[in-house]
Amino acid sequence: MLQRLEKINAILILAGLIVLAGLIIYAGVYNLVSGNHTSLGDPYYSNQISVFERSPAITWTLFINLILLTIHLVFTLRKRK
Amino acid sequence: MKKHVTYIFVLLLISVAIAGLPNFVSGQFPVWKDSIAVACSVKHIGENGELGLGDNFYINFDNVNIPYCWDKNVYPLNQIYMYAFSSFSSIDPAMTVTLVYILIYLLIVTAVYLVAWELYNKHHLAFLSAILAGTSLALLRILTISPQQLFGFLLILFIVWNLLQYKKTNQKKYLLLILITVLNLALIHQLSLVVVSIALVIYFISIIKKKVLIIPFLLVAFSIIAFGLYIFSSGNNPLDYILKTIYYASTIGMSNLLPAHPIWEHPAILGYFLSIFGLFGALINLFTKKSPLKVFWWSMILFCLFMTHSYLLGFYFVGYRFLFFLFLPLSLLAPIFFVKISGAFGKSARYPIAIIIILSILASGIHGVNFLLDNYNGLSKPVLPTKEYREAITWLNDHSNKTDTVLTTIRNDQKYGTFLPYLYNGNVMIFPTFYFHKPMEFEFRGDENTYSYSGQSANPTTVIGKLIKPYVINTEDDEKEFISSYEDQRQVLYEMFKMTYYPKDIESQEYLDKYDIRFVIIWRGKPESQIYANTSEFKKVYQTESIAIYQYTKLN
Repeated sequence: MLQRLEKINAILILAGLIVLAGLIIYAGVYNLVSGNHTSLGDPYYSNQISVFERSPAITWTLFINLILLTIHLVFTLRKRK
Repeated sequence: MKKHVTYIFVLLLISVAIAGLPNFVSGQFPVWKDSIAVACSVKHIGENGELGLGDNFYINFDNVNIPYCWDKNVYPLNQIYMYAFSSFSSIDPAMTVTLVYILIYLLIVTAVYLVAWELYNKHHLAFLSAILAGTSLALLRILTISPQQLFGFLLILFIVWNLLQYKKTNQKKYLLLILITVLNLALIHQLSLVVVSIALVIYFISIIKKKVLIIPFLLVAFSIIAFGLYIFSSGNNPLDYILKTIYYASTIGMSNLLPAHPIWEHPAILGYFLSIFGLFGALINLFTKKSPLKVFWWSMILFCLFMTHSYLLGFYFVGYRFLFFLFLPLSLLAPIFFVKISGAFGKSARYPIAIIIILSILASGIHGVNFLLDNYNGLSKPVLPTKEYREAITWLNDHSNKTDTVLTTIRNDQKYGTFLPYLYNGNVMIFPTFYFHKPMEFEFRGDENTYSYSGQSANPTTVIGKLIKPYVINTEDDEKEFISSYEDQRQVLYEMFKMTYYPKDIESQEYLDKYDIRFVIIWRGKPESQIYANTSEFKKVYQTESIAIYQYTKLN
């Protein structure tokens, strides 16, 4: 049962990473094509992380991925014991 | 071996594409402030046979003189190594230095591959580790802003490789190599020295072998002595110098220009995939009993995280500089994620893992390309005139006589005005709005009045074709000295101000005639662009997206 749950979680991680990669690639290509570079050079100096980097969709996908990975971490550590 | 070569070849192709594509798109050669400073120093060593004092030395790059040069206390070995590289090259030092730094970036990516291979013995895992490192925004940012730090990263990787060899073979020669590398770091990049020394000291203490316990103390003592002796030999008190450096670093850290980034922004700064895989790998590594260099990695991670967030305790040490070191442990621990996730998929792991690797390469790559493109566009501007500006001045040269004077203005975000004396054949008058953060005899209007200066500004100002010493304004005394240097020229500045902002006044027209002003170069969006658009005395003769040239027609 636990093994099955671990596999389902791993599949969800894979799906989450695919979505995250898709969002980043979409944002990246959009930026390149539109030339809409908002961070004006270095975000550290301009006090702005670009819209691309502050995208809520990317942030939320990342957050969900981190939760799934934490579950996977628990599975991995449990197995070791 | 053949497989290694293939993987490294593909790795370097991808890295070259990531570093080169933004350059190709932006159409600018990647020249940045610090690589120019190194180039300037290289030229100084070539001409004088010794390291410079960092003042008033101009480097000529593509017919533009750039006033920025390191003094002999700034990363001296970095300067000397770069001089050694440049002595083999016949092209301009600015270009050589930039190309060598790109080469070191490629060496770092290769070094990550080789260290990851030592750790995991799997080609695809070493390859992924190197790709994540090569596309990390931390490394790419260092490549574009502070390329001198690349030497630091490369030497840290060399130290890690030697540590792994020492662990494997127990041969003392690897410890000697580590010691030599640390000594190099003392004079090549001190911040890297601090980070790696702390990790090494804790690591050596943790392995509790009496014989090698002396190593960390030797490392620290030798590197401090080496650096101290160098500073002493260059005529400075080492303690004063170090205190001054700490004060300088903390002053910059407090500035609004360099905000501290909270922990939830770290994935955007280091790279999303690197952060996810690296964090997971680091946690597994922490809970694994016999994992190689666990203490070393975690000492580095915790120290860098602590220093990044030291502002919470009231210390400001330019935290982001420490954050960037995290890409090293994270990229080298990231493959653990793949080892563990493939365990969950069982026998059918190959395809999911391949999908994750391909997607992470694509996503990290495009993120890196976007970041670099932003940086190339944003950072090359202050140090190089744009193509648009060059074309405008070429047009001006073709349509003017050598006796014609050109009037223009500069300000903090558009420093191209400083290049005018080198590009334009005739006389120039530049109204230095850039410097005046306080009203002098006259008042500024609107936003022009609200200028605040950065402690790092060092730009030349040209008044009637004469170059005034560039000023570095760090203290109040510097500021007083700077303002007093303009005392003698208040009248000229006042006349320039009148011509620039009140061209219709009869008084201004007297000055226009007095200085034989024939052309005025105006930047779009500045207040004077409106002023000139509504005058009958000035006729617009050249217009591009951001530059307009007006010709003064009412010359007596």
